[in-house]
Formats: sequence, structure tokens, C-alpha cells
Amino acid sequence: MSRKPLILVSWLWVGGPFAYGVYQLVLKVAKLFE
Amino acid sequence: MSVGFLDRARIVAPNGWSRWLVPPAALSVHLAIGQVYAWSVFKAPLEKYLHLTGAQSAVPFQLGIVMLGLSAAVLGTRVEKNGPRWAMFTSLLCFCSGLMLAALGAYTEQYWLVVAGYGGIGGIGLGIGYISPVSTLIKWFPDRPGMATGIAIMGFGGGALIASPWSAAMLTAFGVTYNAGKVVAVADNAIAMTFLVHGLAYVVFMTLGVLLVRVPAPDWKPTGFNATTVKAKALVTTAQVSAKNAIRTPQFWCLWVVLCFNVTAGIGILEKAAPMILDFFGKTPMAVTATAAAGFVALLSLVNMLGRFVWSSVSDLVGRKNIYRIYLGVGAIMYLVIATVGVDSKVVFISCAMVILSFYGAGFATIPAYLRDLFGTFQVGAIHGRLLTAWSTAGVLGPLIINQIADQRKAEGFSGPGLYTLSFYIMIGLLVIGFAANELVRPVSSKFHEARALGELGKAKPEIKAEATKLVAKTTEDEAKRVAARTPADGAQKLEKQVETKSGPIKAVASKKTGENRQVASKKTGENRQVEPNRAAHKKGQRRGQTRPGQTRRGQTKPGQTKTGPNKTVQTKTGPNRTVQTKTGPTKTVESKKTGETPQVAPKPSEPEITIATESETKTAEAK
Repeated sequence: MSRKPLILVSWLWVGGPFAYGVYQLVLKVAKLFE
Repeated sequence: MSVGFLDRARIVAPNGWSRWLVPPAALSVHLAIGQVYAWSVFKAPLEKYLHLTGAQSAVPFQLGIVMLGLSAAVLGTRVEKNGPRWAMFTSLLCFCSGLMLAALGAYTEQYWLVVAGYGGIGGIGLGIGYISPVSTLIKWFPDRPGMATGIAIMGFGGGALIASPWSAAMLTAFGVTYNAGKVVAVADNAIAMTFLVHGLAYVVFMTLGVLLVRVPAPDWKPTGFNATTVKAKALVTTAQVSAKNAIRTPQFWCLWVVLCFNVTAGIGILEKAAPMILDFFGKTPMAVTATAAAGFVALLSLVNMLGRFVWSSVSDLVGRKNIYRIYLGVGAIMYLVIATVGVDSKVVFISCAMVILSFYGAGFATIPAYLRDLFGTFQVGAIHGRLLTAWSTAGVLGPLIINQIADQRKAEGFSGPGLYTLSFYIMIGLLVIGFAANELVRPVSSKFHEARALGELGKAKPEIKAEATKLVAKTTEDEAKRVAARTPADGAQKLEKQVETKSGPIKAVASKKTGENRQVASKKTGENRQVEPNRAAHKKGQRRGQTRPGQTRRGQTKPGQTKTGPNKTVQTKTGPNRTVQTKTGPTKTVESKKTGETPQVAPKPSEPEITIATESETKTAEAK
């Protein structure tokens, strides 16, 4: 049985919120150069 | 015996299970519990709503960090024993129920409930949830332990990145009003609802980890992984050291100093990053605004998180000792640059601070892999838990140094960079001490290693372990009698140490005449350890034909090997999956009371070697 879909879903599960957090942080970092 | 849902035996990975499913399982826990670093988002609303001081509103966070260190140290061994699913589930229960209790406290305006819930119960969840995923990943990635621990511990840093904007948005949605960054009004139940939603959301989020986590089968190895390559690296051991023994080694305390001072140095910048950059450049043509200072703090958070993954992965290539040389040595140089020329250039100041903070995060992330190198994987989680007391110490030490000195210098009339210069030199001193401690790290003495055979059995079922322990004790007792009978009339007096089989720890059996030495296990306690060879023989130099612990004589089998030919190795089945191989003196028959199986003990070589081979290894050898 291929576990690729499970791997994909599980990485999206944690990767999605993590990407949101990093995006918000980058927005803040940009203020340093304003 | 029934196997519970949380039991370690239930989560042994089946054939074909991808190890790339384990990092998301670990991250689902670390990204959740990392929320603790976003506590500052709740501070101002709580102060407004419950009329608290700044110090009072910090108590749940402080208690949470203290409980993290304590629970990791105290419960580490239990976490290792019960397995990662139990640990993750317990972490979920504690962390999420802590948030819900905090919700109840905010709803009823009973602040002590917020403290007890979030800091006390939630803090226990932090400690258990912090160490278990790390040790599990180390076992799945023996070829890249630095990268594995980097992933998990980067997740802990990432948890605050997620929770900080998310919690702020939720507080606003439930009725907290801000004006120019300050809280001006808090609606009833706004904080309680935010805590409650956090608790429920994290239950769902962490459940993935509980369901997905697996432990590798005892004989599992990554494709293409060669254990001998790992063993060939300096400091990397294939032996195992228990948590109890680890804290008796100088290596553990060297690493404690390394971690403590590396973290202290990082906190030195992190604690006052925003006021520091304002003080450095406030009165210069390169003046920095408060908004830009907030951006500087965010930048440091970003490199702190990235450093955990990047530097820890690099440590797999350059070695753990070398990477800590960089963290501590280059870190000290960066502090020196800031202290001497930092005020002249904003770019230099920011760059050096970024490097220091990346090393700060990396120090956290690499330390479990360093522990694994020195102490093996047997109880690495528990050892890691004990080492985290260094973090707790640094958490007090770092802010204390930087704040006390800044306040004192201010009172003395200093301003700008002058407030921090002395602190920076103190940090350099601490980093140099940490560097020296790292230089003192040597491979752990074999006297702290778990005995090879029974150490391997640590992974086996308790009944198998007990049976094998009895068998080993009986075999070695017979062997001791044989040695005594073979020596002259006064042979018994020539035995330097007697076997103690009724109780107490293992003792060496060593004959001055023959120089024989062996491992003996205690019948009563089941304790076992690798025995130092005859000390008298050591004083005179290693005798010919005598082996040190961990060495294998020519013609002698190594663990996992099955020997054929004149010196036959005897295999004793003790359970469904494992075989105890016993190589001893004259032919004897040792009957296992429990199983009724009769292993044959083969003709002598002078010393017994007890190894454990998996059934598959045995079958392979038999086929050959």
C-alpha cells in the first residue's frame, strides 16, 4: 500500500500553519528596513 | 497480555513504514507546545482584565518553563519506557487541559487557576512533549540525527511564530480592543474564549502526532545505512548508557555547561533586543524607530528558528564537537565585534546578532544528537530531559546578567552601548568556558555502558529479559565454579573477586592466574553492566590473551554473529524473537525453567561472551 498520500497530508497538516507563521514573521521583519 | 492503544508494542512500525511520517508526528506536538513562547500576547489583556502587574502576568509563562525542565528531568525515564504515543497523548492531555483550566480561570476571574492550569499542568505537558518526539526521531534517523533533532526543535520555535499572530487575531475577534499597540478594553469572556478555542484546536492538531507516531522495529535500519561508518566517527558510540549512569559521567556535565552558557549568551541578546538596538543607535545618524526595532526582534526569531534546522543538519557532516566549537568560538568573536565596533555600523551589529541567535537556536537543536553520539539511543530522551535543567538555569542567568548590569550602569550614568558592554564581555567569558567544556568531551568510559547482551534486551519484552537474566546468571555461576575447581587447591583464594549472584550489582570474576574475566548478572536485581577487566592485570599491563570490555578477541564472535567451527556458539531461545548466544567453558546444559528448552553450552574458550542476536540474524547465519 502506498503511503504517499498519508505523507503528503501529514506534511501539509504541519506545514500549512508553519508557513502561515513564517509569513507573518517575514511581514514583521520587513519593518526593519522601512 | 492485552496491548493498550498507547503501548509501545502497539506502535512498532510495520514493514514498509516510511520514516518521513515521523517528523510530521513530532512537529504536530512541538508546533503546538511551542505556543508557550507566545504567552506575551496574553499578558496585556490579562493585566487589563484582571488588574495584574507585569510581573504577575508573567508567572504562568515562568512556571510553565520551570515545569518543562522539571517534568522532562523527572519523567524522562518513564517517557522512554512507555513510548512516544503515551508521551504525546499525555502531553496533549496536560497541555490542552491546562489551556482549558486557564479558560475557566479567566471566565471566573480566578487568576490562580490560570497560573495552575497554563503554567502547572500545561508545563508538565511541555516537558513530556518536548523530549519524546526528539528521541523518537533520533531512533528513526541514525544516519542524520542532527537533522532529525533540528526538525523537531525548529518546530518548538515555530510554535510561537504560529501562535503569536493567531492568538492576537483571536483575542481581537473575541473583543480585546487595541489602540497603538496598547490594550484599551477587554470584553467579558474574550480571554476565556481564546484560551478555550486554543485548547480545543490543539487537541485536534496534536492528535495527528498521537496517531501517526511509530517506533522502528529493533532490527530496522535505513536503506544503505552502515553502522560501522557511524561507529568510525570520533565520539560516536554504538554502546548504550542509561540515564542513571549518564549523569555520573563528566561528559554529561561538560555538555550541561556547554548548553547552559550557549543559551545564556543567546538570551543575553534576545532578552533586550529591541531596547538594545534603540540604545545602540538612538543617538546616532543611523537612528532606529520602534517599528524597526520590532522588525529586528522578528528577524532574530527567524534566524533563531532557521539556525535550529540548518546548523544542526550541518553537524551531521562536520561532527558535533566541531559544530559546538563554532557555536561557542565564533559566538564569542561575534560578541567581541559587537562590543568593540558594533556601534559604528548597523549592518555589523545586526549581522553579528543574527549569527549569535542562530547559534542559540542551534545549540538547543544539536544537543540531543550530541547526547546520542555519546550515550547511544537507549535512554537518550531521559538523558535529554535531565540536561534541560541547563536551559532552566540559563533562563534565569541570562536575563539576570543583562538586566542587572544594564540597570546598574544606568544608575551610574551610562547610556547607549555603555549599558551593555560589560554584559557582552561577561557573555564572552561564559562562551569561552563553554568552549573549554566542549574541548573536555571525550568518549564515555566503557564502565558506564550497559552490558552488551542485556543492554540489547532493554528493547525486549520484560519476561524475555527476566528469563535471559536468569539464564546468564546461572551460566556464569556455573562458570565461576568451574574456574575455582580448575585452579589449584588454594584456587579460591586466588580469585580476586567473588561472584555475587544472590543480590547486589555485578562483580567481576577474575583469576590472577588465568587472567580470565567475564560479565556476571545479578539474579535478584537483574542489574547488569559491563565489567572492567581484572584491575591487577591492568596495572601490569594488558595480559596476553585478555580482552578489555567491548573488545573482541580474534576468533571470537561479535554481537549478532553466529560462529561455526571448533568454538561453537550456542543459541538459547528465550522468546519469540530473540536468541541469547552463550559461549562458555566446558560443555554444560543449562535448562531454562520457564521455557523448558535446553540450550547446549559449548566447549570452552576462556571467557564467555553473551550476545543477543535477532532471529533474522540467526537465520541468516544459519543459512550461511
